[in-house]
Amino acid sequence: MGGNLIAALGFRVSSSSSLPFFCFTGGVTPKSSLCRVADNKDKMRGLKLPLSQTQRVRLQRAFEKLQSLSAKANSDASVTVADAIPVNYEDAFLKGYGTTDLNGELVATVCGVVERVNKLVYVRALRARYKPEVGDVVVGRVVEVAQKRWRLEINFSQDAVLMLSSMNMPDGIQRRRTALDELNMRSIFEENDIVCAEVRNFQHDGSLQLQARSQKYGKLEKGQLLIIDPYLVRKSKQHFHHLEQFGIDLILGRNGYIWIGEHVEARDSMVIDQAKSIDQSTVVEGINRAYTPLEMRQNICRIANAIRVLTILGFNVDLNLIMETVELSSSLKIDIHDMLGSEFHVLVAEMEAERRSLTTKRKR
Amino acid sequence: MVGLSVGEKHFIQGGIAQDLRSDGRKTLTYRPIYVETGVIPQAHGSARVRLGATDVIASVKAELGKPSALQPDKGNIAIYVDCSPTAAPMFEGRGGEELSTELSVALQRCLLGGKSGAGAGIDPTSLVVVEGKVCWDLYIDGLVISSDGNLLDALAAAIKAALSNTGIPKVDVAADATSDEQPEVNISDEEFLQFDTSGIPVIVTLTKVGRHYIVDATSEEESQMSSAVSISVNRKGHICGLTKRGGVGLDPSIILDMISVAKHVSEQLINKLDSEIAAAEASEEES
Repeated sequence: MGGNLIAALGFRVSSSSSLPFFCFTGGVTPKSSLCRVADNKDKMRGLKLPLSQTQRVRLQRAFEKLQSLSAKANSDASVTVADAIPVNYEDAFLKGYGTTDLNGELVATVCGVVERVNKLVYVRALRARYKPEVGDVVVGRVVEVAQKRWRLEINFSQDAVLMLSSMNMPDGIQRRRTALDELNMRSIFEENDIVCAEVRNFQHDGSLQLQARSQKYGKLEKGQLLIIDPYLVRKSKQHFHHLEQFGIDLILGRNGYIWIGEHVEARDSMVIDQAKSIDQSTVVEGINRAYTPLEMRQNICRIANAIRVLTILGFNVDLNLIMETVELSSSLKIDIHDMLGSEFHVLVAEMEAERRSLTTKRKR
Repeated sequence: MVGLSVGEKHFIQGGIAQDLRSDGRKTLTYRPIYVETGVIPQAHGSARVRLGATDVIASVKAELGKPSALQPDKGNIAIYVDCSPTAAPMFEGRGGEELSTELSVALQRCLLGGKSGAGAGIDPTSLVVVEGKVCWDLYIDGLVISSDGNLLDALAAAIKAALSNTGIPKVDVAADATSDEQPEVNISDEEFLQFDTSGIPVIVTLTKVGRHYIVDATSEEESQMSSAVSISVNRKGHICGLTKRGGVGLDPSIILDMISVAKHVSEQLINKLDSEIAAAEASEEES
């Protein structure tokens, strides 16, 4: 509800630059409050890196550098549970989500970032489920084929609904969906298919409605899906990235589902898909379908590992950072699997600290 | 377990066929193994092993008991595995029982040797205190906290680490005990005896997907498997146990090939595991 209110008011609070949240091993207690982390059992983030002493020191230094570079106004924005929120108590203010009144003091009840919108003060939790906004690009998995609609799982509190009428028809003609179309829904999307769509609106009961009317939306095949925390994917102009030099499609879903796969031309997908799906049902063993060529697969894996590294370090996942990480790994001739080792994590943190300090210097 | 679309399954199978899996590993590469010892202070020995996102804990508790009449010179060892509901929603209530029993039996077969106790990874004769009367009962418990494939390998590694971490208290027996009575025993609080764990085997699970085998499958890759063979190999290169899962039949030549592959992989795994356990013990002593 709070999210809706903010969206409705049309305010977009400038979020702080990415704050690193991560786990150290060996019981080192990081000094800055930014490095305190809520108990985190998420599969991606729960990976503790075994760092040697020098690596730990280097990582600490990189994060301190990043912290000092982040916007001053937000330097004390992050809070953990039971931290007092700095508020001017003389002004009237509204207590929003994640806050509570304890002994006359405003105290945070979740770990997150303090956001202020006019008089509303609330704490945006980081490890929350995805909070959708209208127009977001999301990637979801079909869990159910229901009457005239598909239900997709998108890491939201409810399953999102993609109506049959929100999909383009195979023949491209705009017409009413007949009963035959309903019966043929499975030939378009089946259970467990990965689908890319856009948030259309919220229904009265709070659930989400999606639409996939454009050519660029639709079923995703020939690739892998990566699941990360939603807060790491910021809203940007472009969520679909076609990496020409690799021939790879990269879709950054705002719900934290990231798709990396072979490039597919934006096509009048439905016609070809129907023909393909008939093929699929007969050649179910998949022997005839060629596998992804090795070089493209290597690039896909490299990009996937780059995203995994960025998630562990807690950096925002956007195209520039991903490409820089990939270039760093290829320039240092690091093996794809070694990208998940501690040394590369430290290198990426240092690289990001360097990059940010250069950009802030340039701004000044 | 979340389902996979046809496209994703095809991608995984293609990766395995081309020796480049989803996270960049080769078909015979393990995920990074992280070992922590001494995680349960009340137990005599404990360890936590993380293999990628698979997370398991093993604990060893020793109690004084009576040896069985058939084997008066051997102690008793029991291995039991529990799958916690935090690992997967289907483990809630009694849902994880089938998997737990399967894992327990496989581990018992690999680590405890035959009925007579011959060929066991852990020597039961070292557990006896007074022959025929008093012996140590060792209870080894495994707990699966997070499941992302390859539970058996992780559990075997955890048990090995826990046993290296185990200190059995030294027992003084009152010298003048008659043959019928239970002798008085004095359990020392200070001195502990360590186990010799160099003989404990590790388990290498080979998962067959299509025509290729992979080592250390994630749960996505396991959903594509036709069959899996878990082979327990010790330091000398001897096979201590063999378990096959999955309904698809295998040609005998494939099984022999898998055994030789497992033997080859186990050498690196044993060395890696031993160094990780040593590092974990060292860091535990520091803290």
